[in-house]
Amino acid sequence: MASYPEHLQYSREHEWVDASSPAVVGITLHAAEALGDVVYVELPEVGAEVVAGEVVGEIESTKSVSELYSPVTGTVVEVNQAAVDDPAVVNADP
Amino acid sequence: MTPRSTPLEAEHRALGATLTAFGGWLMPLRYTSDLAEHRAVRVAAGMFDLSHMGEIHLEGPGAAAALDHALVGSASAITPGRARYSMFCAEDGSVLDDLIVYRLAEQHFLVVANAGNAGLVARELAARAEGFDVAVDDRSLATALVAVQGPRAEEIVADLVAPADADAVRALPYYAAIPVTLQVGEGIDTLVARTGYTGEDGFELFGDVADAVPLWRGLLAAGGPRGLVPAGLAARDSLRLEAGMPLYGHELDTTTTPYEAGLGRVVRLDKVDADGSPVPFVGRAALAARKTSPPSRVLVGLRGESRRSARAGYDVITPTGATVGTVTSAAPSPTLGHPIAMAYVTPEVSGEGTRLAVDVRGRAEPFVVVPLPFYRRPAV
Repeated sequence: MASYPEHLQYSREHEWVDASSPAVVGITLHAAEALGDVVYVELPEVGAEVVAGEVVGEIESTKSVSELYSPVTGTVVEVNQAAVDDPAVVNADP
Repeated sequence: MTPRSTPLEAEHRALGATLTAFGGWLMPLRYTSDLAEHRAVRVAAGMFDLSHMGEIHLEGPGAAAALDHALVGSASAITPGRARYSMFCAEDGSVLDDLIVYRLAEQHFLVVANAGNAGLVARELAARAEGFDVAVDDRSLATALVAVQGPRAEEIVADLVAPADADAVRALPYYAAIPVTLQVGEGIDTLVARTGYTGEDGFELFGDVADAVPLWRGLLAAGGPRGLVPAGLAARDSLRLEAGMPLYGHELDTTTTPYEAGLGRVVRLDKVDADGSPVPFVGRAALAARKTSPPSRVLVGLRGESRRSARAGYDVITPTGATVGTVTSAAPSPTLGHPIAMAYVTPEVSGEGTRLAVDVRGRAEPFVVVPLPFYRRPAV
């Protein structure tokens, strides 16, 4: 099914990471649907050192708040400002 | 205890709703998107299954007097065909439920209670009515209730009744109700009330559970082409919050009296019985005392100045970090585009324009005190 592409790896916290370098991280369609309308996204700062399994941000919907975890260890080089500016993109295109 | 099903559960599942337990019932939380359903109510119409709510009938020559005694408001003063928002309080003045009382006839009242309190209200009402010439009948499980709310609600409901009744529906005043037969199938008998919980124009239709499915489908068929969508509890909550309406369990509970919530108007200390004597209604003494004493806390509206929403239960703090209250309800406002919240705060910080903050998971987010409601529908 196109919703869960096989070239991505998935974490227990419903996140995906791809194989590119630098790696791209996101949340799955399942997570986006479970959250409902996303209204606020808090991402780590560029330059932050993150450790796999640690909380690095927050994703908030109309009815709930969930923590964002880093599925991998490394340094954040870029964040998706589009998701911060318009959280609805997370629902439209997780 | 497993939650009960409303007569419309299969409809909700067929529409792809996410169901959630609420007040002891399995209810649709959303069908598609909270925000889309909320917006539909503001611009066209939304339809809500409210069959979980309680409907208790009081009939008999003593019905009005029984309710005058049992509730804080005056049932006797309600004209037949009209309704009033009221509260059911304990002897100490604390709120057990907020509800709407419809006077269907001189000697017939319908009390609509919140789903989670329906059992308690029915039992307590029966107990308080003892000694009065009245029959108290809990018909909650036999009653289906569907609400149609939004600027298009009137044309949708008018479309489903005989032409002779359409004028009556259009002319129905706010907080009035009439029996009407919907032209669906062989005809569905309903009580159509112009009441609601969204801040928009709209109707709540009471019918028999046996008619619930055709009622729902009939409204959907008439309303769909006009933009009507089914709407769930998530949208219901954000709509009533924008409209500044309290939700029992949040702004009202057994630690509040009507006064703290800014709803002192529902308490009629001055109501008298047929002899002209003051009615010794349940909670009278405590409420009379509370009315004249300074409040320890005040319910206020808060407008978020940043983008993060507060949540119920979060602390309200001053810019210097002193805790001055608690958030009772909060959400991003889909209509206004900023976070909104209701909170109980100490009187010194309750003035409009007071700059406060809410501790949102460790960060102080700025909020300012604003008057309620946050949203008023445009005057036509």
